[in-house]
Amino acid sequence: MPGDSEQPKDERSDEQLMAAYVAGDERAFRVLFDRYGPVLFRLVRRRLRTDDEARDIVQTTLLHMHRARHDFRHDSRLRPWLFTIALNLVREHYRRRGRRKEQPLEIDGYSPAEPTVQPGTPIEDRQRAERLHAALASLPENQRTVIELHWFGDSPYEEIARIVGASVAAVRVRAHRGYERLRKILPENE
Amino acid sequence: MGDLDGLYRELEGQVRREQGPRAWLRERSTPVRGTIALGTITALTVAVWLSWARPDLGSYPGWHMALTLGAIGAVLVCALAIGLRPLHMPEAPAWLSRLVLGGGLVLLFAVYMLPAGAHAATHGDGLPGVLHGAWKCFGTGAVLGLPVYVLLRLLDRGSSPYGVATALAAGLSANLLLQLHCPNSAPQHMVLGHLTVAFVFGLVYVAYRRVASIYRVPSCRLLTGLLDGRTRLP
Repeated sequence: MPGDSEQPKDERSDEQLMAAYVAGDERAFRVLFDRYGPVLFRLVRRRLRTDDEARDIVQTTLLHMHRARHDFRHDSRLRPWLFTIALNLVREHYRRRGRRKEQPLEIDGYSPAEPTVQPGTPIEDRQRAERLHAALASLPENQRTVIELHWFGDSPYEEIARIVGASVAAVRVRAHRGYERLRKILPENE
Repeated sequence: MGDLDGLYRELEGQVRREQGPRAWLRERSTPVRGTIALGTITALTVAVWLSWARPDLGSYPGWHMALTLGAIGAVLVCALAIGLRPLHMPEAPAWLSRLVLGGGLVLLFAVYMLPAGAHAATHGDGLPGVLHGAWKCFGTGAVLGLPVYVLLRLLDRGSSPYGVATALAAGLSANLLLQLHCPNSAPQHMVLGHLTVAFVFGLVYVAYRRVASIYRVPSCRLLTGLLDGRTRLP
């Protein structure tokens, strides 16, 4: 079971696990799934309309990881590699479904199944999350991606630069502009 | 996220179903996939050159042949590089892919319009003759390009935004083969009979993708879904 406390925790790094998987260790795939399934779900869920769509993208991302495993260079890092696949799949998802702009289904920009808001959260926190989500949705696409990866994904700028295919300086500029814009949109205490 | 175990079971099932030649081909690394594609196209080109070459090959101006083959080859390599670009690389800007592919086709149009010196067109005087010859070459090109397209689809890992580049690459491979086979070097024949193969491959792909998007199904499932009646308009 994922997250089962009885199972010994695998101490290998992501890259070691990937190398083991390429070499034929099928258990390594399960460990990578347990590590990255929830992380990828949170990453893509902010951009999709439903949990089902997000699950499909997570599944396809990991299937692509399997198909492209011989492309993985062992001196590179797995996390940005997977994030790039996931974000490319989200863009392709919208292209294939009638070329609609990426946005949540709901008018106010807040999806009830938004994963950053847990059921039972106090109303004030929930409203704050709604405002934050709406503010993020109002950012230009390139700033939004950088902010989401930096703020929610805890990715350093160097890693984000690899994911979005831009220079570190360009990523810093996008982040700066995005955060500035968020500060203007959101009230002081948020 | 819900049922993580259920999701893993689905994924595990998908991975286990990845068997056979198609799975083997698309699981190769990107340089290997590119080599397989280029190697196959080169082998076809050599085969046509050795066994089905145009009868005027000896008298055809060498500079024009080199220029035409070089231009087709350059655009073909660009189309393959775009078409086989893996998803773990950041998506190339759409304008850049359009510029490279569109610019490549314009370049080919310009090269095809360039007369081959004093080398006369051997067929098709008058419009009916030009159209007849063009139609024959278009048919031959479509038949030659189809197996290349099938191979490129087999090498494709799915969910690529650059499928049109793959279709164009197949059409351009047909142009390469036609250049070595067809003795008619009249510019209008080259454009109508040869270059249209690449255009039509690209257009058919775009139209197919558009229909799949209207039905909201993955393009790989559109045909089978329409045939067995499971795919309906949303």
